[in-house]
Amino acid sequence: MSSTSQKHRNFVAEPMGDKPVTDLAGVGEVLGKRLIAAGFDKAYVVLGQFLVLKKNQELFQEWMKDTCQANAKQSLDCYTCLSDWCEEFL
Amino acid sequence: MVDVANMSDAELRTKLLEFGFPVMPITGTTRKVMEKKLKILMENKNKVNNEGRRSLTRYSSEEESDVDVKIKKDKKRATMAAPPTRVTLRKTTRKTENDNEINMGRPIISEEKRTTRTTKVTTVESGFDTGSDSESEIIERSFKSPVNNHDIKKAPSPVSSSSYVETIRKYSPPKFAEDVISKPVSTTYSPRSTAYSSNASDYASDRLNQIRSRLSLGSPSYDRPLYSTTTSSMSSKSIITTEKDEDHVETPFLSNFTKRLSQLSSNSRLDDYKNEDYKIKEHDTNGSGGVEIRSYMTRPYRSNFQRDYQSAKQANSKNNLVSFAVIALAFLFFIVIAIAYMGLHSGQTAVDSIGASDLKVNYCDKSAAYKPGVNCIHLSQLRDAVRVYEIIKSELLKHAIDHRCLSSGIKPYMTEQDILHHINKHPTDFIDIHKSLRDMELLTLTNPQWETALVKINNDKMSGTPIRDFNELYDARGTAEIALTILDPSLPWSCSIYNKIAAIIQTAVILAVGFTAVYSLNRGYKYYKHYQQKQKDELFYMVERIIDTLQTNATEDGDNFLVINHVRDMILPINDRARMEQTWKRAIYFINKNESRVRTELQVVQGEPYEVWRWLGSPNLNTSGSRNKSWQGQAFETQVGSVNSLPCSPTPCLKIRGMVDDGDRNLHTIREAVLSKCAHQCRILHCAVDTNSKCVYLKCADQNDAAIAYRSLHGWWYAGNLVTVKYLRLERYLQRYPDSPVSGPPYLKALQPATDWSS
Repeated sequence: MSSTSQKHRNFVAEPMGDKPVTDLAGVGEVLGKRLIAAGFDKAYVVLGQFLVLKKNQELFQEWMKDTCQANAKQSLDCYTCLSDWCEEFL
Repeated sequence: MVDVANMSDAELRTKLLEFGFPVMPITGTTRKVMEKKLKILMENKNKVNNEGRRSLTRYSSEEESDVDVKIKKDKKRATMAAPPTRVTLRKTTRKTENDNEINMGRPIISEEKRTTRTTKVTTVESGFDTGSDSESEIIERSFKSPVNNHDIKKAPSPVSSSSYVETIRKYSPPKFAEDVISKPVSTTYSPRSTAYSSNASDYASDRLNQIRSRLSLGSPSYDRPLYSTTTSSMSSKSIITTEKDEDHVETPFLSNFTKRLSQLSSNSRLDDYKNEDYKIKEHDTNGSGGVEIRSYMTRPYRSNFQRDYQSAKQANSKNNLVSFAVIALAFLFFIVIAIAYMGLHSGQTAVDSIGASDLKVNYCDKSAAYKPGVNCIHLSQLRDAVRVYEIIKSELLKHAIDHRCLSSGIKPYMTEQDILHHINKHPTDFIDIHKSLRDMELLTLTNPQWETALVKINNDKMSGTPIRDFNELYDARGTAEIALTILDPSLPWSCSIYNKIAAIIQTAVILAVGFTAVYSLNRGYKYYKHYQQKQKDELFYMVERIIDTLQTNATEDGDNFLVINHVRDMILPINDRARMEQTWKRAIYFINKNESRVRTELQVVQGEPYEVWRWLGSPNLNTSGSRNKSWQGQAFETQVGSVNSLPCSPTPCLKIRGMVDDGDRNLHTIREAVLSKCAHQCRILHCAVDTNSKCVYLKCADQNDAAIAYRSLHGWWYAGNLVTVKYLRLERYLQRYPDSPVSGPPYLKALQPATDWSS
């Protein structure tokens, strides 16, 4: 997919390690702040939520919307990012 | 309505399960989402019932009404949480056999196998799809994949499908013809209301499973089970078709009615399936129009497909015929070519078989011209001669092939000795084998189609000269050994390929060697040129410096001469003297020959005769021009942070003032002076002296280099003048010197080893 952002590619390129939540595609400073406020301070915590929701796109996007008021684009970016990462490393 | 917020996690889970939602962990973080989901599911169920109208106008189906009725009838079962689909299915199949009229032509028997297989998958799928807003999208997506299957599948089974259509046609009025064709896809004919209530729920769930299995799997069995007619479904069809007419007539009214009924029905799992049906089943109540919409294809394909369905089937067979014919033709073509090719080869080998008919023989008769054993053969001995040939033929061929394929050390021919030896190995009954052999040799001469040649073995034992007529043969018999060989044997594939490859490699090697030679020659030439240029540059530089030195030392009065060796010692540093010996000698030669202002003479210096150079030119030049063209020290500080140097360089280009005087000849010297001053510290791309503006222009690799050059040049004394440097915009520089290199290497270096000026 050529339409992925640089952020997406960066994230998917390597194991996430201790990356902050803002490294996820679609999660900027504002969303990152909200997510951290909700306790999701690292990318792997979001990954955990993503996995708990069984990689279900709809539910994950819904959850993103709930936790940090992400819009559809942001949450979709985040979802794609995580699911691509999972495909690569899980 | 249940209060979702107050449910425990377990209740929530069960509830979701009831809606066919997959089991998912309900945790602190997911609970909210799950609650929402459940609410949506519940709302959606109601919404579909209440607002069904709107969506029904778009997606309405006679199917769902069907389902609803049955659900109503079978409410008890429907309220069960996560009903065991498998069981239902089994039941259904059992029933199908009994109640064919209920199944209404859906070949459930064939379908059933598939459904049971896929039950698990479908429930999961349905869970995601159910009742959500995105459901139609999801379903559509799942539609997409089957589209291909659908198209492809159609073609291979035109016979069964068309026969099916025909059977139905017989019974149904033409009005429903199109409808009927699509029936196998849509799998339903009409809503049957209460009449079939007892079996209805089974039927419904079965139907749903069918649909879902199709959707979720995108199985290629889209039409297969529908068209492939097992005997039982065949029989059912005949019943259906009779029934169908009346069913269809009442369809619109009934479906409306049942829809209304379905709104009242509540709280059942099947409702959700039904929701799905709303979206999936676009089979509208109004007859054929709806049929078009409801197909498994994506929208753009739908109408086309349905309309052209019938004609497409006929066209399909026609198209198939044409394409098959084309393929067959292509095959034929290649086969013919292959045969022709084989024929070419076998044509050559076919000659080997000796037909006595096409044998050319010089028979001996009484005339004196014929001498038996020399140029003619007795008829009685012909047979033996041919037999000899037949025996040795294969051996000859083997020799020839081995010579070419295995190793060239094997002799390609058989001498008479070899032949006799070979023949003796076989049990033969030749009367006079020598005579027969000779006769055979004669025959090979007269029969070129044998492709066997007689050769006279040369002294090196490996080659021979061919013998062409009887006289030669006769002469050769006395003097040398005669041998037989096959000059042009047809080689086996592997061998000929090997030979070809060997030849190719050989050619490639030769070519490579050739190219390498050309390339190295080219390189050598270039290097030589470069070397020559360098030598020349060094020479001219040397000469200039000699003249400079002489000029500088010349005075108005007194002896304007310098000992040659002294000049050398002045110019060349100690460590370079040995290396520059050649250049120096050439410089001396050059000056003696080409410099008119310098005269070489012998002078006694300090009691010893020396060869000296006397400067004859005007000493005026001395003072004005090149009086000590060199750096003479720093006038002011230009280190970092000082007032005179910019904090960072804005451009890579510099303009140096104060180095070029009026009528200065030695531009080269100035350039060298600049380079020797800064080239060892920074990378300089281009340096040019302009006499018009009396400036030196310097272009460095980048800003940092320019800054270094700036610092090492600005504020220095050069030949009595203060040198000032300014930065020059790159555009201006390029205007002036458009040909200056844009990037390096090569970078300019000073010929003279840089002097350390920092001290």
